[in-house]
Amino acid sequence: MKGSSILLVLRLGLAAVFLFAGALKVADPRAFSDSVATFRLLPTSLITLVAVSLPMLEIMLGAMLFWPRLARPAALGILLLSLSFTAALISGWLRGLPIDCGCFGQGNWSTQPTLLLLRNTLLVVVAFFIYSRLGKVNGHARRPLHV
Amino acid sequence: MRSLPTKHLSGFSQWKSDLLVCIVVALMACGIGSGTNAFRRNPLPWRYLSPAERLQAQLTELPAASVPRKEAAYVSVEELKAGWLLLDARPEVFYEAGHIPDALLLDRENFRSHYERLRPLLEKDKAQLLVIYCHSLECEDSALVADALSKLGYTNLRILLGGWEAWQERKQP
Repeated sequence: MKGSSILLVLRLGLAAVFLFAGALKVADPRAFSDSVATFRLLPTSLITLVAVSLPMLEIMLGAMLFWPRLARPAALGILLLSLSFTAALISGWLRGLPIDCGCFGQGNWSTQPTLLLLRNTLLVVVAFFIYSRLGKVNGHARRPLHV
Repeated sequence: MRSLPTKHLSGFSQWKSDLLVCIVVALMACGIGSGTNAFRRNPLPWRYLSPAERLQAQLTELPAASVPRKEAAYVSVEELKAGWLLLDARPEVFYEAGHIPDALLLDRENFRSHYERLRPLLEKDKAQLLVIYCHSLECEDSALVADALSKLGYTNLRILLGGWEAWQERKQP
C-alpha cells in the first residue's frame, strides 16, 4: 500500500469517527451536557454552549477531512480537540471523578479511563500523522526557511 | 544565504493559517449549535441544570406528599421476588433495548409524562413495594427517581443494587 493510500484510509477513517461521534451527540444534546458536566471543568453558564457547539464542530471537522483543500486544518483541529479531551480526561481521572465521556452519544455509565485514554491517544497519533504528512503528499509548494 | 532543509518542516509551515481556519470553523460551530438549540422542540436552557434539578422542576407540576419522606433501602438481585413492581429509571432508549421482565419505564428525564401514564397503577396503593433500577452501581437515576417518588408520598421503595448490569450478570449461567 502506498503512502498516499494509507493517508487516504486514515483520513476517511478519522472523518467517519468524528462524523459518527458528532451525529450521536447532536441527537441527544441533553445527555451530552450531562457528560460535559461530569468533568466539573466548566461553569454552568458554559456547559450548554459547549454541549451544543462541540458536536457541530466534530461534524464540520469530520466533513472537512473529505475535502483535500481543507483536510490539513481539519486534521489540526481534530488534533487540538483530541488533546483537549485527553487533558480533560486526565484531570477528571486525577480528581477521582466518575467520568461519563459522552464520546459516542448518550451515556448512562462511567467509562473506563484507561480505555478512553488509549482511544484518545490513538486519535491524537492519527491526526498528527495526517497533519504532518498531508502537505508532502499533496505536494503543496513550500518556501524554504532562510538564515 | 543558505536554505534550511525543509524535509522535517514541510508539514508544519502553514500551521498559522490552518489554526485560523480552525478558529473560524469553531466560531461557525458555536453559531450553528446555538441556532439549532434555539429551534429545537425542547431546547436546552442556557444555564445548565443537573439531572436532579431537572427532575425537581418536573415534580413541581405533580401533587406533593403530605406524609413524611422515607429513604429508599437497597435490595439485591438475589432478593427480588415475583410480584414486586419493578421500575426502570434508565433513558427510554436503553429500556427499549432490553429491560428486566415486567419492569415499567419511569425514565428520570421524562419522569412527569411517564408518571402520569403509570399513575392509575401506582397511586392505587402508595405503600406497595416499588423496586427501582438503573444501569449499574455507578448510575444515579434510580436514587433520583426513588427520591422523587418519596416526595410524591410513596413509602415502600427499594433500589436494586447494581441495576441492569447486576441483573444481566445474574442471568448468565
